[in-house]
Amino acid sequence: MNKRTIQYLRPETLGAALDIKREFGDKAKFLFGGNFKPTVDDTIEVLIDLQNTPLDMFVWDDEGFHIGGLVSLRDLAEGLELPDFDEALSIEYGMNVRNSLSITNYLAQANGRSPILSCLLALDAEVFTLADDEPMSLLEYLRNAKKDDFVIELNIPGTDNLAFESVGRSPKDLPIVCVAASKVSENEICVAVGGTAEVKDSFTIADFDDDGSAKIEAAFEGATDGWASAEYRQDVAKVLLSRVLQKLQLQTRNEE
Amino acid sequence: MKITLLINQKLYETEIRPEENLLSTLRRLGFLGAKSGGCVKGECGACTVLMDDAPINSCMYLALQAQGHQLTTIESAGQHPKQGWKETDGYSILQQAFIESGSVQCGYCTPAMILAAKALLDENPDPSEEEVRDALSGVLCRCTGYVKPVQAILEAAEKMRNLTASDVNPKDVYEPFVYQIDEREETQTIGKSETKIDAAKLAQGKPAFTADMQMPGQLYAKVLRSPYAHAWIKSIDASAAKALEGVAAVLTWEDIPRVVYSTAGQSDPIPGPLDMFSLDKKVRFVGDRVAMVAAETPEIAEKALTLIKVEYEELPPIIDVRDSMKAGAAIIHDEPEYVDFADSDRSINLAAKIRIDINDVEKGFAEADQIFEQEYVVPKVQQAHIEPHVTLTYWDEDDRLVIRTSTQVPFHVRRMMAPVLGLPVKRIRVVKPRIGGGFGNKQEVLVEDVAGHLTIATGRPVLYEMSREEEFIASRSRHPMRVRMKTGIKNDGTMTANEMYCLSDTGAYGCHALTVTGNTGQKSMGLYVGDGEYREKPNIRFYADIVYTNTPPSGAYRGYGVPQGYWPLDRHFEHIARAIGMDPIEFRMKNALRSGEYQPFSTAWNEGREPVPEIIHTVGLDDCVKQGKLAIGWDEKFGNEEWHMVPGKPHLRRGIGVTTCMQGTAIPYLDMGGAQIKINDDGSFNLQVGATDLGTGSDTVLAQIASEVLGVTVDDIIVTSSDTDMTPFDVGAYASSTTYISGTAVLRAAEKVAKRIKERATLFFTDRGFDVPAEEVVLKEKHAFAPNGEKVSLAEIALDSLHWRNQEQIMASASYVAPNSPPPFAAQFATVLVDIETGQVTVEDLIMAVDGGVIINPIAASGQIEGGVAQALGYGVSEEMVYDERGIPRESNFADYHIFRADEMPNLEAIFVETYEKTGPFGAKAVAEIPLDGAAPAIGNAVLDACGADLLDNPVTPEKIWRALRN
Repeated sequence: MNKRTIQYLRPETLGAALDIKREFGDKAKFLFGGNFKPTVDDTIEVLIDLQNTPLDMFVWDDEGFHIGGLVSLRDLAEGLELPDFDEALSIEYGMNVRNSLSITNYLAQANGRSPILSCLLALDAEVFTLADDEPMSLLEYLRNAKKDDFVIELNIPGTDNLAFESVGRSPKDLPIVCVAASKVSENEICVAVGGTAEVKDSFTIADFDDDGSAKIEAAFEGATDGWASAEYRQDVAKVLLSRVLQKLQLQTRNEE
Repeated sequence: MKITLLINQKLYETEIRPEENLLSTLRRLGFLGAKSGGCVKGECGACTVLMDDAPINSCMYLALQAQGHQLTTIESAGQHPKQGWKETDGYSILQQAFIESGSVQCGYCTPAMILAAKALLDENPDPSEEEVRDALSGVLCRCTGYVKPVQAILEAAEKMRNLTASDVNPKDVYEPFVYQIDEREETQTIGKSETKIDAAKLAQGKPAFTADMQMPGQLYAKVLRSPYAHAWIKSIDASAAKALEGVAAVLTWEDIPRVVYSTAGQSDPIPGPLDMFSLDKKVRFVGDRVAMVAAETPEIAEKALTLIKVEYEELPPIIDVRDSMKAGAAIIHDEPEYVDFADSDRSINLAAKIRIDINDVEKGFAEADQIFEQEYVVPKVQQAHIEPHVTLTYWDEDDRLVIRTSTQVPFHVRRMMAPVLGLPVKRIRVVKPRIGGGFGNKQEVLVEDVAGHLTIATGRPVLYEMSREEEFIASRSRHPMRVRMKTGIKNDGTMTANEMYCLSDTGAYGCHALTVTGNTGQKSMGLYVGDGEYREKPNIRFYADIVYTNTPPSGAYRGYGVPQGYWPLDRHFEHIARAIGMDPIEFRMKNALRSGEYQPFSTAWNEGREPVPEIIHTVGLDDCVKQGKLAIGWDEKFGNEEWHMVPGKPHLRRGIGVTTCMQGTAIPYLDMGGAQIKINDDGSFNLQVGATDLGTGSDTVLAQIASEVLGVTVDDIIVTSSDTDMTPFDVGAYASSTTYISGTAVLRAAEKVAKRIKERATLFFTDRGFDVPAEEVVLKEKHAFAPNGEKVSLAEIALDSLHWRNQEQIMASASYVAPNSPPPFAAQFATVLVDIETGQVTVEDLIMAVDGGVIINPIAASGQIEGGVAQALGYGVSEEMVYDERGIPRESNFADYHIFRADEMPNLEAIFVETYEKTGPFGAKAVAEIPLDGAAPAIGNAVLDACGADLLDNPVTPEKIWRALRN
């Protein structure tokens, strides 16, 4: 049997990596850290491993957090220091995957059943991708990203509050329904829901007096699948939202 | 490509394929402690290694990516302290704690857990239990319920912090509570928590498992599976796959002999229909086999599958079990080779039928004051052993086919594969290495024919390991059932008649169809006979239809049909007790079987054989209830409104529930085990058994039985199990039979050997000038003792018999088949917390008190209970396999099919109530399966107690509770 030859490169900068990609096109493949079932197709001639580039950065400035795509989910959680994010992460993945899976690879396969995703959406996260110099909302990336357009940076506004609630069959089962919310500005609470494969639009409510029940009911309109009925999700999501808002109110009050 | 990896502080340069993941490379380099769990989303963690001191899944990285990082594998942890003339530092403290605590059951995930713990303790030497559980959250274990691993890590942490010798025997920390109600003889090792004889090798990650052996020229097998639930294969074009470089063989139904068989690993004759072929021109479920490929690498084999062109003609599928016997339903088995079994009728998709009437049920109903009727549903669930089905086949130098396979039934594999592969039995050798969990699923002969056919086709060794997806879509599972109960009750709570009808779904093939469902009635309904006059003549009816559907086949799963019986039976009894205003425990105990009474089903049914009436002598159920009540605080909680409320959280309610249950111990007049013992020059012994330890500790228990009789320590017994060329026949590991059946065979063989040793000892005493009758010689402390205290060592006796005078090999064999099946009993208690607004249920405590007769090894036995209850917990709340109308499964990985992780377990506790069963070895019965029986209904009862939600379908999921509360 013929032995296959391939070039394996570890550029030091993203620019250098992109140059290589431009040179080899579809015959080159990026490696963004740990991934589920990593594969290398027969057509690939060059592997561009980004682990030596600065994509493992975790920077905080006036605009919030700037997190490189190679950061692991565990490091993401430790950097954010949001207990409810930790909780969502621990539901979705055990310790090994948290250590292994990079943000880029996580986002490339995430769907609406992911509690982490609900949290990131509630945190109003934006992403930079390989293909675009401009940031886009995480939701837009999830909806419209082309194959092989990977997230290289996750930006999270400087929010220091997040509340998350979920219902599953066991404490660490993927949620049937979950709700995350974050007070992203003085008059704006961003709410994201999850538990169905389809990623739902996040929505905002103005303040804690708004129970958001109409919006959350609408979010789960027709959301019946093999795991739960829309009727159940609509009802329970309202309960979870009310709990999330209470938690959030407590968090923001403590901050004040 | 050449890469360099830093593994355990040493550089390794190696040639790799670019697509090779780190796990494959490590294993190829001999670091075999990292295992494959076949998963695709990193869920199982069996492949854990440390990368730069953090636990990661080695399947989630290409080997290329690991260059420049520091890798740590289990092989760096520690080793046997004495390697001949070389002394080592011995096992690490963590390894030692795992070994002593009974944390090592099947051992497949043990290296991963030890490494995860090492990473934690290196960073945090004083972790909380919560932190330990979080550290273990990336490693799934299906055997232990995580109880002992967590204890072991906390103990190891303390030891590492203090670094001083403790006065406390480390085992005392792990010992379960044993409440002795019967007297028993004084023993040396029986009843003591001897360290498992296989724990050390597994804690070191030694190459003990099937896939740990790599043969020169080995090929890798993959199977193409059907996308349709029911279809004819009109044509298959495998030419492109065959032409792919690196492909050694592609086989379709046209290439191999058409031999009908059953995959159920049971004694001859198989008590069920023969309805399966290695490959067929019809597919009967999504996941059924279409073609098989052998190639130089797994990746090439995968690619070859994509090149096989198949044209199907779809047929209407039957997915709902209620449709199977309807007029006009599609016939799933219309092949002419089909071999009927008694009462099967494939023209109506009936795989088996059971009709058992004990006494007069109609009369019983007529005598009742109230009749209670209800229908219940139990789901299809998966065994979810972490080591997938795996087998390696090759021709040996004598042209015999060696099947090295992870099986519970090596002798059945040999007998059943012979006709399928076109070989006489004598040209097949089956070797069972270590098994990474089986729970009944490896009682199926599922993979051996695939590798066998491909070895025959290519002449080369072939490894076939199922992926996790294949385990879900194409292995076996617990039979789902719809169960109708009808019970007659007098106003004082006396049961006058009890009737159960099961509509059982065997899936596409009829493996275990009759026997699993028979046990559903036999071992659940058999527990309750009624009171007063009904005790002598209980009125019981058990009918079942076991039908085919176009879903993956059901089969054997630990508990073997009995958990399916206890959900409807016990939930029904809870309803009745509450409806007639009687204490639920008092109601159960009033009607439960008592010592000296017949197991009612023994008079009517015996797994397809002649029934033999059996009186049950040891029933410790009453004490199980008492001990369990004390442990869970029943009297303080049940009926206490204050306890049911959670202060400050009006949406939460607590509840408490109980289930009483009974299992079996082996199949009477059928299950047979053999054992052979011989002495070695140093007074140690070889014990050869056909029994198969699949992580239960049976090798250790059998060694304890032998050592007790022979007066030696357990480490003087070298156990070999099992190899069809080398060890005596045994039916294998199922039906909770090993301790009772194989243990009695060991006992008998040991007694014969002991007798001969004593006779030879008398020669020494005569030499010393006094005569002692052999029967007065006592074997203990590795010596033969005369009544006057004179002694001679077993080593001297061995040397004398092998070398000095009247030479002979002191050895003996024995086998045993039992006329009895003395059942274990148990009381399972549960407490739950229910969110009445969302329906979410959190199980807080599961305490099981078990009468398993004399417990030969308490730590090992408690591990069985804890692990079994953890599986039953999943059956109660989270596990189920669901199919859409096209037969496409919802679950094909551990993300969707959720089994409990370490960081979400409730408090688990095992208590033993020790009776003395005279028919068992040293008074033992069984413990392996009973923990599966009670948790689900106890949880269901606790949910009812908490909030009034009365669920008839298992598992108790949030939406079902929410709906029940709304209604």
